[in-house]
Amino acid sequence: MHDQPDHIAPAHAEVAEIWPRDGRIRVLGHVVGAASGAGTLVARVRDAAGTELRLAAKGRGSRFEVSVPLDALASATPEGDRVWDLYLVPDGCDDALRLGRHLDDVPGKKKIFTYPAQRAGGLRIEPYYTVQDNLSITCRRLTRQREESR
Amino acid sequence: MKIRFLLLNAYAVGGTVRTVVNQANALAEAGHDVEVVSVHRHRAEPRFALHPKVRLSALVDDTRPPSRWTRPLTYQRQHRPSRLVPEAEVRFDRFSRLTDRRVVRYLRSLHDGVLITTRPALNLLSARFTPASVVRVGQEHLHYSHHKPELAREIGRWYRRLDAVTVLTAADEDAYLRRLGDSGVRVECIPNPLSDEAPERAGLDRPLVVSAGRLVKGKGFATLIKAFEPVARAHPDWQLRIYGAGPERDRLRTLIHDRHLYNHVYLMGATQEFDRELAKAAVFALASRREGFGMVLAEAMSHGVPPVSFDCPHGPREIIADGQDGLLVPLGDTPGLTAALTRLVEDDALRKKLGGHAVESARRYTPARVRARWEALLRVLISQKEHA
Repeated sequence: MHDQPDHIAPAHAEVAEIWPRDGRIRVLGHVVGAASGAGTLVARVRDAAGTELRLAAKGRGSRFEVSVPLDALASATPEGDRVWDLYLVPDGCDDALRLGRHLDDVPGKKKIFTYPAQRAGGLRIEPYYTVQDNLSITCRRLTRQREESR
Repeated sequence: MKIRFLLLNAYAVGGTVRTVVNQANALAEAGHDVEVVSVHRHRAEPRFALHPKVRLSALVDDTRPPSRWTRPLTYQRQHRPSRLVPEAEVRFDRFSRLTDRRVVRYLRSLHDGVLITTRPALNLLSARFTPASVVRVGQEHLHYSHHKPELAREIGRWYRRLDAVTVLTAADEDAYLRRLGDSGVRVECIPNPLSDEAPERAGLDRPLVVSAGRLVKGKGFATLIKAFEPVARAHPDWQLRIYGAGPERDRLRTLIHDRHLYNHVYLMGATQEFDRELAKAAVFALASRREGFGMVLAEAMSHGVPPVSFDCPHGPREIIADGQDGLLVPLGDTPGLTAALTRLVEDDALRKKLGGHAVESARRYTPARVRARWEALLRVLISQKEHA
């Protein structure tokens, strides 16, 4: 429901759907302030400069679709407890566009738009919206206690 | 007219308090002399704002509890259970020897005008102790069928002394007439008013189904989510937003996750601006197993949003004319709910037709209409009293 005009929004990658299932996290949306949705998804570990994951993003017009395999996240952060911030770098564009959802009428998504966690490599991996309505992924090591509290 | 409302706690938050405050404000606005008397007071200011002309007082001020040493009798009385209120009254625990004394003293002090009491215990006390020179009206905000047998017996015994009993639904009107019909007490069905006189009209063009209520089992949100699943699969641009908070939240969230509905069904939490959210909806859905009155249906309809509801006890059937201004589905028929939602999702013209009629139907509940019905009733009761 992108019922507000796109041109007033700062450049970002607007998320429409998130599908955390079958060992991956698929994200669909469209770019705002860039021509094409095709490019590279860059996942950066928060507070750990240098650790990043680059994956191809499919695009059609301004639409994009990315699929993040959980194994890739797990093997890149074997030590556990990490947050990945997601960016899209469209082809021919220098800027990394933050993934987020800002064009609908629901501010404060963190507690409203929630998604199931999946498990991979001893981690519990879950996409979530930050307090700024940007999209990130948490990885937490499965401890006995946490498993029980699930 | 001089009109007094007696409430258990005008400072609390709840459906009855909200409704009574709306009524009191509407009557004060129309120039009547209105007073709200609260049996209890547990905070400094009421949560629902009163019209500046409405006087408010409390019989027992719990913000200043009596000292055990300087007022030992009062102190003791507030800790001893009521002798006048039947134990079967749901809020029996809120009554004490102290409230007995204060309420009876207050009731006996009256000699003219109108007294409207707002729950069974207070209706019973009014019937027993208010002088007959006062027009005594007992409001029932709960349903007769929900009263315990012992309370129903007390009602059968004492309500006949009242001048009128008011109820919210036609079904309840029948129940009270059966119980009290031989006694001459007037039984009148007056619905609760909407809060807004001129609600914003919904455009009905956003792919959005809205539901609302406390997240408790009886509201049937799990059923609604299951009924919406095929709709979301067939029409992936449509969303269901559920407004409200409550103990079922985590379970509903798990259901949404397990069924992979997280891109289509959202638990929105409680909102202060529900009217604005309603005006965005194209369809309103209610899957309750039971409703007090189903005011939220009338609210949705007042925005021109066509409702789909289970035909559950109390309300929906009296608010919705099936196929005219909304759709009724047999209680518990989940595929039927899916079918009704799908009909409205797929048919713009039907949505607009039902929505248009819904606005008309909801006019029965505008504050002005409901106030006029109260004024008419009270006028009749007062003139009967004068000619008696």
